[in-house]
Amino acid sequence: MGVSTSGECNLPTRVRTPAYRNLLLMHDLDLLSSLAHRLPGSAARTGGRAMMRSWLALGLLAGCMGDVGAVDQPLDPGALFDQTDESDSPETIPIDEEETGDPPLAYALVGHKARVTAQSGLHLRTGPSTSYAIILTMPDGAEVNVIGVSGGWNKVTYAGRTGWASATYLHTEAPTGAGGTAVDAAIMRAQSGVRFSYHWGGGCWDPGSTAYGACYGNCPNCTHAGRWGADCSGYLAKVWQVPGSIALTTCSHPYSTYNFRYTRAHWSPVARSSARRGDALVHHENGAGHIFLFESGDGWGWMRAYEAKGCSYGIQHDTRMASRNYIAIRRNGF
Amino acid sequence: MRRLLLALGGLALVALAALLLGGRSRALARRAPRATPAARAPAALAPAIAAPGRGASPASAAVALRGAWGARPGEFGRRRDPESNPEAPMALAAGAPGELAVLDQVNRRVQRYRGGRLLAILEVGGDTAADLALGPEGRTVVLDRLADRTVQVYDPSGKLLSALPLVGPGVDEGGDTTGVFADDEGVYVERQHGSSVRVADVNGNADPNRPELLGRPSRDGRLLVQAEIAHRAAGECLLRATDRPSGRLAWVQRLRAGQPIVHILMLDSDRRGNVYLAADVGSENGADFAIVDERVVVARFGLDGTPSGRLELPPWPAAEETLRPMAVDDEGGVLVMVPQEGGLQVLRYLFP
Repeated sequence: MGVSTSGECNLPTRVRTPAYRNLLLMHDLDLLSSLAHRLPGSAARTGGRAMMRSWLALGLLAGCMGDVGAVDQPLDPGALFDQTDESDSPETIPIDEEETGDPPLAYALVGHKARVTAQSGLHLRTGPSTSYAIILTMPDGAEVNVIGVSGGWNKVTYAGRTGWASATYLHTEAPTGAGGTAVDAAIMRAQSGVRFSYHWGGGCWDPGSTAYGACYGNCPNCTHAGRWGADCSGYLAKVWQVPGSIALTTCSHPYSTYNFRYTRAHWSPVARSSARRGDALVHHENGAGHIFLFESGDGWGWMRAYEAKGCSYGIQHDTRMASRNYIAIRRNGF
Repeated sequence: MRRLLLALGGLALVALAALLLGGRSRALARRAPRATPAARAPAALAPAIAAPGRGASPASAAVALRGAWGARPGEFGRRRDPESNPEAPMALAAGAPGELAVLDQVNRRVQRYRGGRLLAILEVGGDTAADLALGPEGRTVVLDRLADRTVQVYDPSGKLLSALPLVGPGVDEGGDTTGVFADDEGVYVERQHGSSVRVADVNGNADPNRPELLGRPSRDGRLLVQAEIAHRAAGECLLRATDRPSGRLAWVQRLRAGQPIVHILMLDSDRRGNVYLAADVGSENGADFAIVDERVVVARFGLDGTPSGRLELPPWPAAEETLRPMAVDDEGGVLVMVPQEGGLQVLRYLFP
């Protein structure tokens, strides 16, 4: 069993799953990152960064990581630090989110493959921001598996390693027949509604406007101020463009949560365990209901959602739990 | 004649006894509703609570507190507006046995209890708070991640000490955050059930550096813990503990739930350093995709990662969203919020 006081890390069990290896890999990369940041003078930002990381790596691999070698595919110490960075490759400067202030228009599809679209390569980092250490640089055209998303960053696996890369430079290869473009467009519509107010019975907003509106009280006896806003079902219908194409600025509310839950006009139920980006989770019981757009899942099986949450909240992008009362539905053609 | 008198006397005695007993019962029945829910001492498991699911281990539980839906002291707010997200208390936090707090965000407050009695009510600014933590010296920390996007620190009297901006280095979006934590070292917010960001010191002063931690801090201060689903269909979760002082991996363990994982519900610890992981498990019915055979598996791991117990509890029973439906107190009691038609119960389960 593990011993925390001696500095040794004995694995409690012999584990064979890739997820376990990724966990260990991520842990030690995170660890190296955190240790590097604690160094005096912030050595991680100097030209000696690679050397410092190598020292840390050797020290760790001699101790904790030595036991990691007990897993089926021992980690190659050198492989952890073969990244290209400022000191390693002065001729090419791999891009990253640092070179652009533009947020990605659409994230890569979680659960699918994507390709790097950056001529000078793209950093794979230990976390979803530039403050995290660089694991390596992925070349232009490299194929990655997208396994998560966090605010403009994708969690990906590449060459057996797991890390984070700017979603701006990852191009999703839409699965055959899955209508990736339509899903991307739906996500973009959902993003464009964030910050607008909750408007009971409403379903319109102007992405170019900052007149978000406001809601007061408890609906349906609530008061709405402003022109734009939506409730949960009005928002979802507009994001999904059901029953048909309609401008976001044209106010409409064609379906309620009852319709989404119990009818199959332009959608069908799917297994929650197979829910994918662009699906919706809906519940309706005893006259009350809610629906939200599913973007991705996190490590706990919670959901990244776009939703017109309620009067006090407005339209939000958040991580949430959905109880068994919710079922998953998929728009026809997604 | 004498027999007749004796018989009549006996009947009179029986009637008198019945009258007295009945009267006492009625008196008890009248008295019961007068007792405020918050003032009620923990009692035996209420019969309304569903029995643990299939294959469950025996789990003893007591009602830690109970309150009706409403806005009076000791009651809890519930919001079930049509076409919006249903809400009941989003979170609870526990300290010493009997000491717990419920985030009653619909009523814009935190209610703190000791021994089942309502101890204090803290007014919080809005009705959109999502999580809370009990800090040292009686402080309460509240996370409003979506509307105000602040971390609020209150002193024991309910005075707001600070309201820190949530979004900043390490937190790009308020909706990314999945919990708030407080200990002797500071105040932290967790991002997408992964790493945590220290946002303030123990007094609520903002930390400009906002360093990251490899997980959420354990109550004894020795570990940082993280969990994730390793294999949903196979019912496996991984739990990783980092030795906090050294930053080195302490141990990795797995929870085999025996059924597909729906989601993880809790990762917490007690004062002795035991770590608790709870996963909601269930199978999807192929016909209508309903989740069936649902239950919550709670596993306990010792300071060195040794598995030391397992409970099986009823699942979260309602559509209401929750961020922290379960918590562990200092002594290892597992507290679970149970929203019901009449109100909210908090049950305390003990490992056998």
